[in-house]
Amino acid sequence: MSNQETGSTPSHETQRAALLESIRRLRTRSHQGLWAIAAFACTSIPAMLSDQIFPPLTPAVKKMLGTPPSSNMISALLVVYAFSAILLVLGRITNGSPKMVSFSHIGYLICFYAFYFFSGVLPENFWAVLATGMTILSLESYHIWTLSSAKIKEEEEALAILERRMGQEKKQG
Amino acid sequence: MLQSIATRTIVPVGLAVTGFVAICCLSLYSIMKQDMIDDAAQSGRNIANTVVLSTRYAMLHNDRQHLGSIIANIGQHQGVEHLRVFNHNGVITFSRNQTEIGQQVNKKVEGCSGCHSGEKPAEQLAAVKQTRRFTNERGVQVLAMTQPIYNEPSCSTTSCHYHSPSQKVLGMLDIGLDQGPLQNSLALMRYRMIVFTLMTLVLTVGGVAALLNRSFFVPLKKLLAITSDEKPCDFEQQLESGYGELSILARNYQRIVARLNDTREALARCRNCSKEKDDTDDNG
Repeated sequence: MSNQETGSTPSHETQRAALLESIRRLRTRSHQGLWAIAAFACTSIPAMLSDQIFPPLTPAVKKMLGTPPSSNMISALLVVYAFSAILLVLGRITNGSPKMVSFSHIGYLICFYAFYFFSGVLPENFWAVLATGMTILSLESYHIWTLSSAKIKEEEEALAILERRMGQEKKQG
Repeated sequence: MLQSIATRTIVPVGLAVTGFVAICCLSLYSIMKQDMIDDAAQSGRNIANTVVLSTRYAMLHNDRQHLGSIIANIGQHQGVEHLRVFNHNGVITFSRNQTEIGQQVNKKVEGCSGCHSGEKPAEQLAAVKQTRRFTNERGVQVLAMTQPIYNEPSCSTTSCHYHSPSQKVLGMLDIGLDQGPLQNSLALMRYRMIVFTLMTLVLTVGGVAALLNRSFFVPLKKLLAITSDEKPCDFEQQLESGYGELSILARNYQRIVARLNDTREALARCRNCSKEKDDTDDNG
C-alpha cells in the first residue's frame, strides 16, 4: 500500500534514504551486463581449448549419443538464433523495456558449443559462437546500462531537489 | 558524450550490424571450408578407387613387380604425399617410399581406429570415416584416405593365388594428398571475406550514421543552439523548413516564445498603467 493511500507522507530523511538506495541498486544493475559478458568469456575459454582439455569421445559414448546433427545445420540454427536474439534486444531498446540481462543466453550458447563439440567441428566454429554471444550480450548490457544511467540521472535530480528543500527547511527552522 | 542521442542511436545499430555480419561471415566461412574439404576428400577417394581398379589385374595375377611399379609411378604424382598398400595383418606390402615396406601399421591411429575400434574389425565403413587430416613429419598438412580392397569371387577361386572366401577385406590402400593448395584457396577466400565484410560494415554503419547526421543531428544541433539563445528570435530563418517534425517543433517554439513576449509586454503595460494611475491618484 502506498503512502498516499494510507494518508501518511514519508519524512524527507526516509525519502532521501529510499532515493539513495534506489541509486545504489541502479548502479549495481547497470554493471549486470558486464558480469554476463565476463561469465560468457569464462565459459568460452574451455571451449577454445577443447582439443587440449577434453579427451576425444570414445566410440561407446558416440554410440550412446547417437548421430550428431550436421555442422551446417547447427550453423544455420546459430544464424537464426543470433538474428532472433538481436531483433528481440533491438525491440527492447525501442520500447525502453527495463527487463534485466537474460543469463539464459549463456546457457543457449553453451549448448551450441556442446553441439559443435559432439559433431567434432568446434575449433572451426568457435569464433562464430563467440561473436554471437558477444554481440547479443553487448547489446543487452548497453541497453541496460543506458536505461539505468537515465534512471540514475532522474533519481539524482530528485535527490538534489529534496536536499535543497531539506536545507531550506533547516534554515527556516 | 555517451548519453547523447547520436551515441545512443549509432552504437546499437553499429553493434547489431557488425555482430550479425561477423556471425554470418564466420559461419559461412566454416561451411564453405567444410564443403571444400569434403570435395577434396571425395576427389581423393576417387583417386584411391582409380588406383585400386588400376592394380586389380596385377593383384589378380599376383604380379608384384607390376603392382609395385604402378604404386611407385602414381606416388610420384605432384600432390601425393604417400601411397601404400598394406595387407590384412596391417603390414605394408607396397609403398611409394621403399623404406616403409614390411613395417607394421599402428591400428590405433586415426584412419585405422574407425574399423579396428571394436573386438572384430568392421568390414564396411562410412566414407567420412575413411578420411583423416594430419601434419606429416615434413610439416605438410595431409588429407589421407583409406580404401579397402575387398575380396572378390575371382580372388578366392583362382588357382595361382588363393584367398579364403570368408576373408572379406584383403588389404587397404592408403593415399595421402598435400592440403597446401586447399589451404591457399581457403586463405584467399578468408582474405576476400574479411575485405568484403569490412566494406559492407563501413557502408552500412557509415550510411546509417551519415543519413542520421544529415536528417536529424544537424537540425537538432541548430535547434539546440536556437533554443539556448537568450534572444530567441528570427530562428525560422536559421532552421530551414525541410527538416519535417524538427521544423514544426522550431515553429511551435517560436509561437510559444512570441506569445510569452506578448504576455510579458501586456503585463508590463498593465503595470505601467496601474503605476501611472496610482501616481495620478496620489497627486490628486
